[in-house]
Amino acid sequence: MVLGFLTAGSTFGAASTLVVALLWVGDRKLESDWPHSLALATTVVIAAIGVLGAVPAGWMLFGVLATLVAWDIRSFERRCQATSRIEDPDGLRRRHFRWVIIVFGLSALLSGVAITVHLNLRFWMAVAISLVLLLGLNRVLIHYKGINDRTRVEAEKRSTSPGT
Amino acid sequence: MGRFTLLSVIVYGLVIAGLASLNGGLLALAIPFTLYLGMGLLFRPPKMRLKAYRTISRNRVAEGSSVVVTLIVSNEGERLEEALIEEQVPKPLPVLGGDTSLRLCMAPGDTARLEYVLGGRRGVYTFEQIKVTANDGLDLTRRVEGIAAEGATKLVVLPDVLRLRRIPIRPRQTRVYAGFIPTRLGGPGVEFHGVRNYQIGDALRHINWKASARHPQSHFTNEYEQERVADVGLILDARARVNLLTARNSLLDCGIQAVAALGETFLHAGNRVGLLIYGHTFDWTFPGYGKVQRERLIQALARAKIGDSLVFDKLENVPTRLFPPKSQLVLVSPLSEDDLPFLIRLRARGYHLLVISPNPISFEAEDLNIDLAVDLAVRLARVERRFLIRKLLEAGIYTLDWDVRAPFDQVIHAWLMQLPLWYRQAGFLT
Repeated sequence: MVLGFLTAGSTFGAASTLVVALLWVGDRKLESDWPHSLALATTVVIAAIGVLGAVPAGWMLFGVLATLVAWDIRSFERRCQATSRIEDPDGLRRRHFRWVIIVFGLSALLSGVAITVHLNLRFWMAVAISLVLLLGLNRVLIHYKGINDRTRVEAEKRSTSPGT
Repeated sequence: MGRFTLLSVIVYGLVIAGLASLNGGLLALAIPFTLYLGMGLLFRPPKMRLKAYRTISRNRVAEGSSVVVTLIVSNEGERLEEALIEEQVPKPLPVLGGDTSLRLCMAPGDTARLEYVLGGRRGVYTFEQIKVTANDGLDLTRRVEGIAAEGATKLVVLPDVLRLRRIPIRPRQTRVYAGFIPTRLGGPGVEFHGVRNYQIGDALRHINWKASARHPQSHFTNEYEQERVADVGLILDARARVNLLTARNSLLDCGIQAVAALGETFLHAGNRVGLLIYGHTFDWTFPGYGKVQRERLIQALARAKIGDSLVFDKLENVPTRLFPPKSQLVLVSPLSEDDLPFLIRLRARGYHLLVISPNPISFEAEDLNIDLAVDLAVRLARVERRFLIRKLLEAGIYTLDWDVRAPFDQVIHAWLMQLPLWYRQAGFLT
């Protein structure tokens, strides 16, 4: 991302990215997750500004992808540290990284296609697709929230029911 | 903010920004996050079907001992990509070693084993459900379930029981069974009681020849004092307002130690012993004999907790009808001033009362930084307490003012030896 900003002649963007990266590295000792989540969100915002500011999208895409992978790995590390024992830690790590590689690979492929293939859409088609996307996403989130709430309620019911 | 929520906000933001600015690059930036979310939703963890079985090396242990808890969890359902099994150890129990949580991948038919060591203080502890959290490979979606484990669910840590020598008591009312308590009645026994007229069948060795010689027309037989068992009621005061609690100990624990030792001693002598624990509720252990009753008393003492209640705020509400009339009562309580009228009334009703009072002043003073003001306060409190105990003595209630820094067994025997010989021979109350 820094290289992308420098290529486009934006030193402010490069500096901001460097600051976030340094904060990320220096934050390794902190116990909580939120600094890394904040760093991820900040990186995405910087990348979006870069794209809007005519920085080549490829650099921004790669930077965001790398940040997402780093965020995921950090979260996995914290989960493992919080557990007193892990059975077959190497196997668990291998399985997790398999997922990460799949996501990384597919994302890189699809994003690459997205920035190279240009489609001309009429306005109404673009609006319709956007609406479908947004409604779909909304639906997914409500469905997921429903699953979470049901699971939590079931777990609470079992823990408070008499005889258990 | 959860991981899923954060990623959703990022996707929404990029999509909306991309559409608003008609910039395909922003939409392209949303692709990795959308894919990440999609994978998490698509491969979310299935409904869990797990069975858990818990074993504890010993369900009943003495205070200070440790136990090994083994938990075996087996997967009878679908594959769990990443599962975290957490044992919910009862809070006051410290984990001395081993693991109480385990993260692993569970294929169908797999079993997981957790083993850990617990120590602990007196109490009855119930193990709650095991918490299992299953997540997908990217930890975006989770299922959390509580699973009740079969097998052992309760651990009882019993208080230590000190061994005491026989404590002489002499209530007016005794029971029919032979024991060690003199009854003031003639019959078979050891101590000489009196003489009576000879009856056919009396053993020749029991004839009192001196008395018989003074009355040529009749013979006299020696009679001995019957020794029987008695009813003993133990009352443990568990009210929060009199039992002080510090970081290291509580006066109730001292009281429990005393009650356990006394209960053991009285039961060993064959007496019928009941226990009333009086605090936020009253826990009554019906009187009984022998080892079974000892076990009941110890279990009740293990359960005892400090508490307060408006109903059981004062000793006046102790239900005295639980105790047979004129039986022996032993009250273990730090005492407060408003307990005095009740104790005097008990004595007036004919109960034989012994009070063991753990001293709250010396107990608390140990943890204080002694300066002039504190020293003066301690001295005043000691004077008040000495006055209270003197009033009890005047009412005929012998009270042991126990400095809990000294072991109970030594204190009680030393105190018994200090009582006048005639009083010891006659018992506590005449």
